[in-house]
Amino acid sequence: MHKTPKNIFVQGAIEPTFIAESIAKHSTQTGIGAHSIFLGQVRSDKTDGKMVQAIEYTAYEEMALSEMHKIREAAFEKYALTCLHVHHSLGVISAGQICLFVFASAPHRRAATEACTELVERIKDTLPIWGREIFTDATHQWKTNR
Amino acid sequence: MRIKILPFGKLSEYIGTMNYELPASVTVAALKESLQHSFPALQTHSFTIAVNREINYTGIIPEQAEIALLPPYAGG
Repeated sequence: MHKTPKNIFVQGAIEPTFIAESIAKHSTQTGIGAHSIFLGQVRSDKTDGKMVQAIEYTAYEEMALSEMHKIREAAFEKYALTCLHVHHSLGVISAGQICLFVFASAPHRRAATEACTELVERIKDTLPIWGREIFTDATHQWKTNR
Repeated sequence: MRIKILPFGKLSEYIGTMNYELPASVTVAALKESLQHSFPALQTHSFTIAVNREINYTGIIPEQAEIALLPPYAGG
């Protein structure tokens, strides 16, 4: 079955109210027994005496969506999941704001927690997304993932 | 033949999205060499190449291919 890849990208930060609404929307799915949620927040790293004020995220969007589709399909194969939602910010996200929201739901908790953890790692390793760290003095450097 | 180059991440500070002329029958390795010769800044940065959104592309690069230059990812 050919599905159009879901768009995981949102312009700007992911608002806490959006996260709450996403949780609320699942209350009708009474087969779900567990949600596992990961939130990535922009951290105010200090490098050489300079502090990160924001990260500007860019992506090779078409490739990221097709890669994400593969990751999603693999997760549903491997884990007994009800639902999986991924949202990643693009654009300038200030320190303290949420830039990644991974939300796995399943009848039982182990599938939800393990799928969520694995998804976060796969997203960070395999999606063509980049971050330009903007310092308080307006200089910048490109983010490297650990 | 003509291909389109899309630089990402730090590479976008050195080169912009552009059309690029290549002889026919070029592999990814040969393309990389050509780009690094044309744009020396690419010699000191690690990146992989995607051909029409596919990494680990083997074979000859097709006409009008979309070539993305991908530094190490940093999402999340």
